[in-house]
Amino acid sequence: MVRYLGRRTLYMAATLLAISLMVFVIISLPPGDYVTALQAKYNVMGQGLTEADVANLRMRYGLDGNLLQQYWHWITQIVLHGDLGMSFEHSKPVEEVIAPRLGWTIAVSLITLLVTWALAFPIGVYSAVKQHSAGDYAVTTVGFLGLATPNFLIALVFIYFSVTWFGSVPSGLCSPEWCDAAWNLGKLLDLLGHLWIPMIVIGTGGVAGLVRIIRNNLLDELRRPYVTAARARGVPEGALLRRYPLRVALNPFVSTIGWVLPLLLVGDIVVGQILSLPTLGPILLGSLKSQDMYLAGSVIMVLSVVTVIGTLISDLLLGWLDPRIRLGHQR
Amino acid sequence: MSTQQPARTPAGNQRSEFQWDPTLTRRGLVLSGGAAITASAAGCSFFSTDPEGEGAGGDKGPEAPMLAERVEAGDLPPVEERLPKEPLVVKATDEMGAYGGTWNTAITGPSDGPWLWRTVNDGHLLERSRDWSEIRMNVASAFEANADASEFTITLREGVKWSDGTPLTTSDVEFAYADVNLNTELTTAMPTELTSLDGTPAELEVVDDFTFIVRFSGPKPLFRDDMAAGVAGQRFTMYPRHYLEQFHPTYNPAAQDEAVAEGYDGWVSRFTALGNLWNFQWENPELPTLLPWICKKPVSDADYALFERNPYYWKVDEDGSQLPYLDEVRYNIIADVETMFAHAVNGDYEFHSRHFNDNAHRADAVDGEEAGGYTIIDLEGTYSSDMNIAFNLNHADAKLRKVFQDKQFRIAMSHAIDRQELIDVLWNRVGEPTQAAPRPESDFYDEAFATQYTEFDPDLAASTLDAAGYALGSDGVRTSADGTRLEFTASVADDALLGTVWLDGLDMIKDMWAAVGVTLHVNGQPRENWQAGIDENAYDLTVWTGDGGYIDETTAVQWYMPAGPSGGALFARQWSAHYTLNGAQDAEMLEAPPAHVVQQHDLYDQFLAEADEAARAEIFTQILAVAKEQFYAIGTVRGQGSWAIASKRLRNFGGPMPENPSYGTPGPAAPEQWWLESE
Repeated sequence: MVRYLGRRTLYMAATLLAISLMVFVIISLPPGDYVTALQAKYNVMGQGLTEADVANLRMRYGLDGNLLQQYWHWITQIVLHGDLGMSFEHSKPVEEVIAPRLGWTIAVSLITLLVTWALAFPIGVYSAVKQHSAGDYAVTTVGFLGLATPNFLIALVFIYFSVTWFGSVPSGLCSPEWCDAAWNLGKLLDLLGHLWIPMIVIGTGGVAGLVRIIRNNLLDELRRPYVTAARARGVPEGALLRRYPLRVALNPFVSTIGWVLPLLLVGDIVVGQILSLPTLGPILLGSLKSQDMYLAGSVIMVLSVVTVIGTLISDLLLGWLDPRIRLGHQR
Repeated sequence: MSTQQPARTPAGNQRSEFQWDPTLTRRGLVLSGGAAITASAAGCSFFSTDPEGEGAGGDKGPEAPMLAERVEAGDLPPVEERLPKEPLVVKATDEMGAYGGTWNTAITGPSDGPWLWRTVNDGHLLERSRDWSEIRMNVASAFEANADASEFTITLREGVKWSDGTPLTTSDVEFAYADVNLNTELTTAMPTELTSLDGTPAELEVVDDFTFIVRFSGPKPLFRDDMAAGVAGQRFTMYPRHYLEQFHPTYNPAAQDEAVAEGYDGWVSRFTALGNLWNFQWENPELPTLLPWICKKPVSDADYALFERNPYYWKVDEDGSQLPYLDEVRYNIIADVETMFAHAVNGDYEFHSRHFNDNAHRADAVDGEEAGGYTIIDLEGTYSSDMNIAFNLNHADAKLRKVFQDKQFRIAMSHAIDRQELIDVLWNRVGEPTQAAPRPESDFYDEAFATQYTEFDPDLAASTLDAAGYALGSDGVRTSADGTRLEFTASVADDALLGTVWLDGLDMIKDMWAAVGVTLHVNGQPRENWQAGIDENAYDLTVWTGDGGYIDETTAVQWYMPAGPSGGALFARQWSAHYTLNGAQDAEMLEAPPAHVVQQHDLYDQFLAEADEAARAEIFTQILAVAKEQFYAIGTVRGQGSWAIASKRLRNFGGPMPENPSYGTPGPAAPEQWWLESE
């Protein structure tokens, strides 16, 4: 187990290193850099910058070397000192910008994950057990719609109906009067009142996907001979379903952490922008636009780390849950 | 746990009273169970009546109730000690108001500084009146120039205090000038308002605690205007010495080490983050300022930024009651403009005039007036045209440059545009065809300049091109005498406020130009990328708003000559840089400026040094005459200005006002004396 963990950790580190290099290169691809943006800002203030000034600024922001040097500087700072660098736009250490938002990002994603499970499981089971029923068709249709509609569109549709029907705009995670209040039941209820929209918007794709997987897995199991045999021996239908096929069909719940989590995090980036969530999404877009490269790179890195760890956890859980996987490589 | 309404000051209760109306609560019930319980919890405060906010004027007292409470509790000195000896008396636009309430508005994020700068801003030495005609005292209580306007004696208003109660004196001015503005690490390039016309920095002499002299090497008559303008007028008065010294190595030898220990990469970035650059005031709640509202929750926080009244604000109304009237300004951080607009239509903002206030949203906004409890205010446009087309006269390709520099070519291109069709299709049928010339409201208006070559005449355009030697090829595209195909790409910043209109407009112009044998491609891109392309001089033509049409004709000169702010004229960036940077970048220049540009530069030098206003106007008219003759850039449509959304309860903002970055809408309408009428 320890060796397994060690091996996985090594793979993770390698994956993250590769991701970091890719991220850094891609962020640096567009023409210009943060000093270009700063130059425009100075111009607006009536301060013309000469070439020498610009060169000085580049040096100050560490943008003077070539790409590899910049990358090397960035990654060694992270690895050796845990220092994510400075955000140019916020003129603050990146940690300070990211920290308050990371919690919300993870919270929204995790809650959405739980809700996704809570919705997908009964629906998937229902539509497998009652295959080809009207309910199955309805659920499947809605599911496909959810899969096919981009998150941001769902968010905009929600906003439209919310304004026209309810006269309030579902943005942010708290109402004005509760935002700075201390935590109590009222604030929690207020939060829930706001949270259900991003949850539904971000979760639709995941729910639809999970429903399909559970339905298919369960259908596979339901057609197995052991089910027929058990039924022939008079095992009650409910107990039969619960005791055998359902357990096997549960696997995707755990294994999906690996791919649902990135889906949720990415969904949050797009939806967070539209619904103004206090998450990492809006600052990622802003930092990419202003070429605030250390901030953008760090946000993507942090999300990658979360994803990679999520995958590891799901693998471990799966191994613990399903002996076939745990013992698989011994055969 | 309790479901109690969060504890708030009385003023805070009043705030929710302003924000919530019972219908909203009922809607909240529909929204979800959670929201409903919250809303009804909040509903308790509907019925709590607070004395403040009832009725206007008279019994409101000398200070806001929230401050009076703090005085009573011993946290603050009494109001008369907080105010200057002779506080600045602000004449209310319509009527004196009552204390209380929150101004809700929105920003897209920390990079949206301009809106903060336009709304919560003060502390210039001088200020402009609402109609922009008059320059009057502000932080300065006296401002005297010598005979040739090379020396200015400035007196600070005695007893003005920073928001932490420390008095503002010339020692702050000295720090601002010597340790910030003259420090090349903090201020990379010396701001033009602080340099003499020959580029040398001004000299500062401190006379006593409240008087200082700014001396230039020669006449600098526009210094007075500068000191009444946005950032320029704050250069001496936005650096609280007592607070900022600790971050400056001159005063604290350990500043560098402390900064590094705190995670900054050096003292410069710490100083900048905490107290330099234009957006610092919104980022650091500890920084003492002279603003009417001070930062309580900075912009980089996730949900919203909050500004609360400055207990030491140094302006009063005609009753002697300390301003501002409004308790708070709250900037909801909404990254998506459509979401922001949805809030606006829902009546969530007391005043807003940015981001969504374009033609495309106007109809929907007007439709929602009744339901949202707001009014749409037309803002007076100040652009010469909403879309000026600039061919790159400094193009890197010598042959293309030759085409673009051919005035006949530009005239033909102008005649080929059907401006009326643009107006009918894209400008809601409201607009005038125009060139890049001062607007009719301007003192510099010249009808001939504004209307030359605007009539739509494709035949004339074609014959002009024929005569200028651009022969029509077999594929319907013209080539110049030296074989250059007339095929260009327009670079457009598609996320600028008018970005979509520009893209649609250029799509129409593409067909109009194709009809006379010129091929146009349109390349829309994010503003940052567009800016990078412009800075690298990698564009054929581009479009931008016609700044300098009215209000800022003589400062935003970039459509009249190669000069001006933001890197200068889009039609000749290199010639602009040659002038604004005093030749520092001439090594890169592909071609020296021609005689008429040199003439304009000389004239503008004279303009800047001329102390007499009438003579100055005369010189500027000459500059415009050259612009008219040279026809550098092509104007299109002077459309309806943008608009503002204002709550029906908001008082004293005084109706329509110009929309212009130099004006800083709605800054000159003095938000510190705005107030909210209770329902």
